[in-house]
Amino acid sequence: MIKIEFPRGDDVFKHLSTTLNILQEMEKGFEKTKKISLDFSEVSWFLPCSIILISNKIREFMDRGFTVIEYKTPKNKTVRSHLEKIGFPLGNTKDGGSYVSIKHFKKDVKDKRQVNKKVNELIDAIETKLPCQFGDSIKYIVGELSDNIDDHSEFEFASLMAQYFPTKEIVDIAVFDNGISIPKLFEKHKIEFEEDYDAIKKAVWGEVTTKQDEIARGFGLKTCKNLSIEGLKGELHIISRKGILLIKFGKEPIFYNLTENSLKGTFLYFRLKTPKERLNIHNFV
Amino acid sequence: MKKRITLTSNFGNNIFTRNSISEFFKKINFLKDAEIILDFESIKFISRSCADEYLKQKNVSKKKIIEANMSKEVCDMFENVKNQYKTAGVKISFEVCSKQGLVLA
Repeated sequence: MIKIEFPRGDDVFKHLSTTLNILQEMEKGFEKTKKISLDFSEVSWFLPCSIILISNKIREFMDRGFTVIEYKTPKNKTVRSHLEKIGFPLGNTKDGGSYVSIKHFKKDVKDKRQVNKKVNELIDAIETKLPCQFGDSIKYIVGELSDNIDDHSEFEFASLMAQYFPTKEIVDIAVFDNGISIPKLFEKHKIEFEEDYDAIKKAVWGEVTTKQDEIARGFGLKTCKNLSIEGLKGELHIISRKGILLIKFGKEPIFYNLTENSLKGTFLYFRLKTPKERLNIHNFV
Repeated sequence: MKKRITLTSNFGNNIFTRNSISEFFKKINFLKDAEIILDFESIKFISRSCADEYLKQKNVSKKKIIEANMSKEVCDMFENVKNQYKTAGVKISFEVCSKQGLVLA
């Protein structure tokens, strides 16, 4: 059984590093025993970024035909109850007052409007939980990201989750697809890059587009970065295959490659501050 | 012949993905009607990507497409794309007008 322990505190990067190790252990364990065994008994704190990744991995295993999960719930009552509410481990259709529970969806290749429908549902759910100062910013970010997933990622499962923290006045949004990843997409389109983090950088800074025959493309991630970092004074974490990018308002961006781990797909995690006044997105995109 | 189509029944209140736009245009390009009014009533938001895709699809469609009831938010997004087109040198030129919709030049 894999013992799950997360770091104390709010450092997204530390939580993500721990989670990537857990995902790797899950993969190894599944290959050996064809079982999913997770021990959450000592978990006393978690961030949505960890939970959505673990939950997505479980769905992926289930899609491979496995249906039995051994899951030891946290001893801590509050944590246990919150995990249940947000729909861990398998996702949930019901949402709470300040969160949108984990939503997974499997790609329906026949329905080209599937992602549009799913994101509309998510946005309808989020809108009621956020202060109006966010304006259309969350719609803009989630909309551009979901379009990227729909258009480029070749995903099988996508997962979304959002949580508003009223006392800290921040919102966390997690979007994950288990598709081909940004570096792989670039390789496919013969776009040159040196390291995986370099591919992410090129995508986020809008230096390249995979639709080279079309003009005015490649703005999506770049404008999401501008809006979330400059407009909402937030932070953005991206993991795609071995590449990692961390951008925080007022700080130099950090790029590097994972040495031992690799993520199948692309994970984006936004932490956004509530603006003092209603934000006009067009000042930043 | 004129046909009026309400966009919310095809997209919901928000338009987020290029695929949904291109599918929609495939559908309307097959209609017999020469003139199509696209009613944006209750569309609260269109993403920048979708506004771009919409303009590219409208530009190549043989139908006469007229927009109605575009909100300020939707008009603003088309204005935003118009500015990006200028910077990127895209040859699609249009005016955004809440009464007449998107008038291609």
